[in-house]
Amino acid sequence: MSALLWKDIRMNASVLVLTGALFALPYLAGFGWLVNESMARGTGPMDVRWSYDAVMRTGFLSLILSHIGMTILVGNALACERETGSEGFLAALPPTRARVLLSKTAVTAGTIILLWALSVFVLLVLAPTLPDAPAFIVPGVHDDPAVELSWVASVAALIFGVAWWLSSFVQKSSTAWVLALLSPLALVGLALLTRSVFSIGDLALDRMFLWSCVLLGLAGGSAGTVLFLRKSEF
Amino acid sequence: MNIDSEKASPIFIQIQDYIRRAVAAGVYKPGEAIPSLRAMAIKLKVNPNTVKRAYQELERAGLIKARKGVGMFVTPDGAAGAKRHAEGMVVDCFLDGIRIAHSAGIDPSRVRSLFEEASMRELPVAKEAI
Amino acid sequence: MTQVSEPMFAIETVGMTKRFGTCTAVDELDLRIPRGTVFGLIGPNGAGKSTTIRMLMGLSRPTCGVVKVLGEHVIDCPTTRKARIGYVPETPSVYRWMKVDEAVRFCRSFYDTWNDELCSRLKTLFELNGEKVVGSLSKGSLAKLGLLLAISPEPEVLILDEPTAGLDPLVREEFLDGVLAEICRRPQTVFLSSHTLGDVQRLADSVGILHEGRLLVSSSTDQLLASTKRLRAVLRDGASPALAPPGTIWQGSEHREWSLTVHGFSESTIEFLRRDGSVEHVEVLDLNLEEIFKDFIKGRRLSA
Repeated sequence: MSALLWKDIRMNASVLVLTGALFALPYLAGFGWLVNESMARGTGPMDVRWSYDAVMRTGFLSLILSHIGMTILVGNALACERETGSEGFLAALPPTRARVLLSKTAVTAGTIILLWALSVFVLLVLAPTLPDAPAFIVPGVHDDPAVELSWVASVAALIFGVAWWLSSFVQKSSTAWVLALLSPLALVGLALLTRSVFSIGDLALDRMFLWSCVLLGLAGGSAGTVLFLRKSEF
Repeated sequence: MNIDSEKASPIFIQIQDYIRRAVAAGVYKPGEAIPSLRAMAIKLKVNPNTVKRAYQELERAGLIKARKGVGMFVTPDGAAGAKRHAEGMVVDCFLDGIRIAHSAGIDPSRVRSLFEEASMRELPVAKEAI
Repeated sequence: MTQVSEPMFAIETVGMTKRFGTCTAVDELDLRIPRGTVFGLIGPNGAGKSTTIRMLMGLSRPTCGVVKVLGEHVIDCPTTRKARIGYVPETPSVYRWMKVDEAVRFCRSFYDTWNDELCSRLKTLFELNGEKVVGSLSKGSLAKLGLLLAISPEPEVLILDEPTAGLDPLVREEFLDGVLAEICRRPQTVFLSSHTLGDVQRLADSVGILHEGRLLVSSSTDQLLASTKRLRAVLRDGASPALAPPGTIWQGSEHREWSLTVHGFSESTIEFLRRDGSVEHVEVLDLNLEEIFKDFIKGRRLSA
């Protein structure tokens, strides 16, 4: 199993580095900007003051940007073997399809869980402890990070589900992740069409959109898994 | 010497011929061991089962005998038997020549004089390396 | 404790068929390959050799029929069965980004039976540089790496799919020497498909000739060579070729010469030829495997 994990990490090394960089970039940029500001104030470079708003903006930007990398990772997960022509080689070796899939899932899901955990920690645990954090989240006045995170999570579920499903059968991994990244737009288009045809209210539409994202994401994930496990021609 | 897979003769027969020629030429003398099955297979680049079959045929013909746990050894009549076999191969060659002569319409007396002429010739080819 | 008996046949197929839409690539193939023997599958391009091998390896699912390797159905128990089979495809598709040593370590982790000493010996024999990236290996070195990875786990069955195709004669010899040394070292079953019929004639205990997915003949190599003869019959003036004797796989005539290749030749074949008096005399010639193969295929194509 460790050999499979090593192989999957090595195959995706550049994508993992890209994803990490996309995640870290907003924080580094934010830190750099704050150092600059601190020096302009004349208080020295290390007297950095993270404001609640700065942390929230940086945290969300980092999470959203890194989804590009995560989507490439998911789109690459199953398609890369096909693309590099090593699918047959792996299929002839002793590990079962389930084992191979488990390793790929561990690498992709592991990365996603890690980055989400870090983001949730920053946004929901660290940020509220800042001096200028609001004592209560007042709807309409303050943006509720939990609500915003649920939006990001739902759209992420759609993107990952589509990427995983496409990855299980397309020849090129770029097809999988590009189409996956475009899928929310397609769903938004469909939502707008539905609103104009059926005259649905905004709140109901929002709920429908979120649930559609989640359900489609789960369907895509399941379909991709089944297609991968049941493949019998290499 | 290499086994010729282009030849129509089955390989286990080629192996037998090779060993018989070697015994007739004195490469392996009576009482001496011939290469093991595995060594012969690797030397001739053939399947060891084929060598095994050849050795079994040679044992049946009395050219070699197995000594359990030790190997295959040339029998005391081995050399004589090999020479007789070589004579048989010469006769086969003669018969091939006679067949050619018959289909070409060459009469038997001419065949005999052709044989006399051929046997007077110096063999230009060096002894085949065994 | 009940002793589980070893299956007699290393490879057994009954009615194995593969169809792609309307095209039948392999048609009702029946094979029985005893343990510890070498079987050579020969056939023209597109005969279905690779498709057959892929079904034996579980890389392609048969449309119908039974496929068993080492007594187990290929569809079941993938891990335990695959660990006992070594496979070398025509072009090994080892991860091109791996170094040779990394590829060895990667494969080694999946086999309990991996023989490090054998692996190291083969690496030296095949002159493989452990630090070289697989993608930069020559075709010959890649083939040798494929063989090393297949042999090092000491498999019970070794399956080779045209492993020497496109290799220069020296590399081909090195490759086959490696296979032969392994056969001599310990008993195992080898299933080899190859265009190089000289190699098959040398190595195979039994051969099968495949044409358009059908097995034309499956026999021990010696038996096939011994029982398949070319007959050159000279016809009398004015006579034309009569009914061909049973077992004729190919025939052709030019002027007064009637040539036939007969499988299952015996003295009665000559009697059959002579029976109507059209034949003046008959010459019987031995054929090598390549000639027999060509005549089987030519004869099939003529009758199609």
